[in-house]
Amino acid sequence: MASSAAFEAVQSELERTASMDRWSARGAIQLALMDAGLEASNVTSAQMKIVVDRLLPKQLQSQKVADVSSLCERIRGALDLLGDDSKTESPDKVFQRLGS
Amino acid sequence: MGNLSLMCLVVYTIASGVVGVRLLQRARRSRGLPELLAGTSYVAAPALGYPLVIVASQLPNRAVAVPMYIIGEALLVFGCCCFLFFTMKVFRPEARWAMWAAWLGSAVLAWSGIGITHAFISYSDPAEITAQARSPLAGMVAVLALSYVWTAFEGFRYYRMMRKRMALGLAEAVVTNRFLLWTLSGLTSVAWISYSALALAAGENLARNAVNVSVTCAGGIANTVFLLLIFMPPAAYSRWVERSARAARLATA
Repeated sequence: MASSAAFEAVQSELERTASMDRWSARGAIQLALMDAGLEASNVTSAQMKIVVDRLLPKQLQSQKVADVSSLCERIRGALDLLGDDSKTESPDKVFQRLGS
Repeated sequence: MGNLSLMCLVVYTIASGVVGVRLLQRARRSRGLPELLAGTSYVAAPALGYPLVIVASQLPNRAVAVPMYIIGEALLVFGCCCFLFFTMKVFRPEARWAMWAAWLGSAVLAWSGIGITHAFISYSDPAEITAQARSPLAGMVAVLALSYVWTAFEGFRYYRMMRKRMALGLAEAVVTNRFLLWTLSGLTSVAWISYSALALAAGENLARNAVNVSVTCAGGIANTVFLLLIFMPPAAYSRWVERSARAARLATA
């Protein structure tokens, strides 16, 4: 299943800056997303910023990544460059519309 | 006794029609496929198809009953297929297995619809129609029950996710609650369909037995309430959901 642009941006930032391999980076993000109740396929950059603020640091610390706070700051910067355009419409957006 | 269950089904039929038309109006404005599929599903199956089939099977004039039955069954099957595609499109838009499940379910529903209609056209005696339609009816009931199990599963999975999002301020309480209602609606339909199928298999008359009537009534009324709360929630209900969520947040803070 394809991941959203926000997911890909965080993954490539972790690979580039924290020297994590592809699967460790994806695993750390996936675990943080699971704790947040979000899905890789439709997570937006606004949602991802909250995850980076609140949940990702714990996952990175458990993987012994150095200088987590400045890494998260760089990830937030990368997310700022993205628009909020996930490829697929999430079920909550649909249900919000259906009941309004 | 039969009148009571009929009345509950009429209430469910009217509510489905109102909700379906409202969703179709919304689909025309938004051009959204999910609202088109849900709206078509509610209008075609419970609002038009089901009542047409019930009325046609009671009519003594075959010249009127047969075309009415054919139209009703076609609408019923089409509506149920739209519901399968709604679940696939909303909850698993990129999963290949979900697309196959929706197509396979639709194929079985179409085969069942043709089989049931063929039995109605070929025989006029209700006992003979029932005997001939047994296999296709079993197929239809099985697909319907499975489709509502799928509905309930996806609803509950998403409800749990939305609860986690709420804790981070990423979800609204009212939308989260809609997934719980969607789950309960799916479970109610599973229970209702399963019970009716078992009762029919045991040769029971759904309109005469008090327990059967109560189950049909409860299912119809519960689904009416869920539909209205999901798709046309009263402002007071939405306020109550928001207040409850705020109170729960304060209690855990």
